[in-house]
Amino acid sequence: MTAAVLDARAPRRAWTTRHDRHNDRHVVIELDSARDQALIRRIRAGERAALAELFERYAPIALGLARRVTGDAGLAEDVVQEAFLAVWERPATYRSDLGTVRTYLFSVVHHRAVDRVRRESAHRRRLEREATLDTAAPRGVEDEVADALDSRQQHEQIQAALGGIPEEQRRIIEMMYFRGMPQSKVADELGVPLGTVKSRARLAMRKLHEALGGGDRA
Amino acid sequence: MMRRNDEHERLEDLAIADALDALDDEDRRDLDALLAAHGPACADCASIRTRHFETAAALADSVVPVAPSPHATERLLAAAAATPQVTTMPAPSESRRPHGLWRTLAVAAAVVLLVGGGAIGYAVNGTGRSNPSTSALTDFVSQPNVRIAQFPATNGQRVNVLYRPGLRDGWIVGTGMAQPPGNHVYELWSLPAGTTRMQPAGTFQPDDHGAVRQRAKLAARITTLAVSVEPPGGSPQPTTPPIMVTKVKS
Repeated sequence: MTAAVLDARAPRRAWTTRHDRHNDRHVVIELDSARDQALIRRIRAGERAALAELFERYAPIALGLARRVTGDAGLAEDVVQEAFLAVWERPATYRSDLGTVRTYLFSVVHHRAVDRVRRESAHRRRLEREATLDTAAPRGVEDEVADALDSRQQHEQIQAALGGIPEEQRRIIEMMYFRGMPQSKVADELGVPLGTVKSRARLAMRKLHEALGGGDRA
Repeated sequence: MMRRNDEHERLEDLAIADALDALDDEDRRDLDALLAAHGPACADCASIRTRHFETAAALADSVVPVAPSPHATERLLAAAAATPQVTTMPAPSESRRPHGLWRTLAVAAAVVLLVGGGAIGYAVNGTGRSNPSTSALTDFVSQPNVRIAQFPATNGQRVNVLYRPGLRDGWIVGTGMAQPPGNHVYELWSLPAGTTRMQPAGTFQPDDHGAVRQRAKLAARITTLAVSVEPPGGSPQPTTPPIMVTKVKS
């Protein structure tokens, strides 16, 4: 019998193991992930209570993400509502072999937020408010929410990972992911070749992946 | 021609931009073409894309969580109560450009499923035959109510027709197809409900890998599909016995 090996760099999330008799090894199961998968199964069965549970579990971060991208609290609420409704409407879209529910949800939210920013010119409003959001991130109530969600470890981990990459790379990730800018606009705004933007993004994402406990590249 | 590793390097750049929702239109076409060339079974493509989507999603953890408005859950549940679920197709259609990874992989998986588990000859070739854009096919499959008509597989040859009941547009998707003799072509026929006269639905030829991806123009309400070998350019009515026939549920 072989022991389950945990990567010390891996995100510290609740986990358990089960014994795979066929291969005589232990398989590590993240409890959060297993719980999310169960919620998706219940949503597929038409259980609205499961949708409510999924929403209450992830809405605060989803809303924070949408608000960061759109710079508009009302728009962010709409984006998150639409994203979760899309999960309800087409639950078969999520496939467990392609990633976690969490990744899927945040991807849908982010994509919709970027879409709305580009469509509704909320970009300008976001830029006007950017300094406030970025430099004086509201604390207090939201921190309590973070505590309640037990997401502080993950928050700190990604903040540390972002802090560990060079400024020029971090800036590109910020512009693409949090400002919803396509690569060509990033290149224009920074006055650098498009190839430079792409190579910096590649280096940044590889470093972030490693810092977050990822394995070797394919 | 780029080697496989070079292509995966290129794909990684595109996948990163896709994961960050920062792809330009031209790059999206390149990404679709690369994924199509490698096919849905390419483990490296899936691994690269999944890895960067996971990393991008982790960036969400850097934001400050925001408490939803007091009635947000009730609002969502009210909307859900008024929204019927679509559970038949594993392909989202939440916007003009649904989310890249999930859309592409789910649609690719759906297409693989539709052709009976056989590998689709997605290779981009230089013959100019049977090589329409992959995005057009994935867009089609992403639509609601897409059905599959399967011809019985013979000698490793699989041909299926994707269609939407009541509508004329369709796709012929095949694998393992032998080249028709001489300069002949395969021709798809559809039989409208209540008639006995076959209508031409499009000619097709496999590419060098035996793959077929070709648009079809079907009769509006069809009961039967058939394939025959016809002279170059096709025929207005079948001139040879059908080599494949299948019934269709309209």
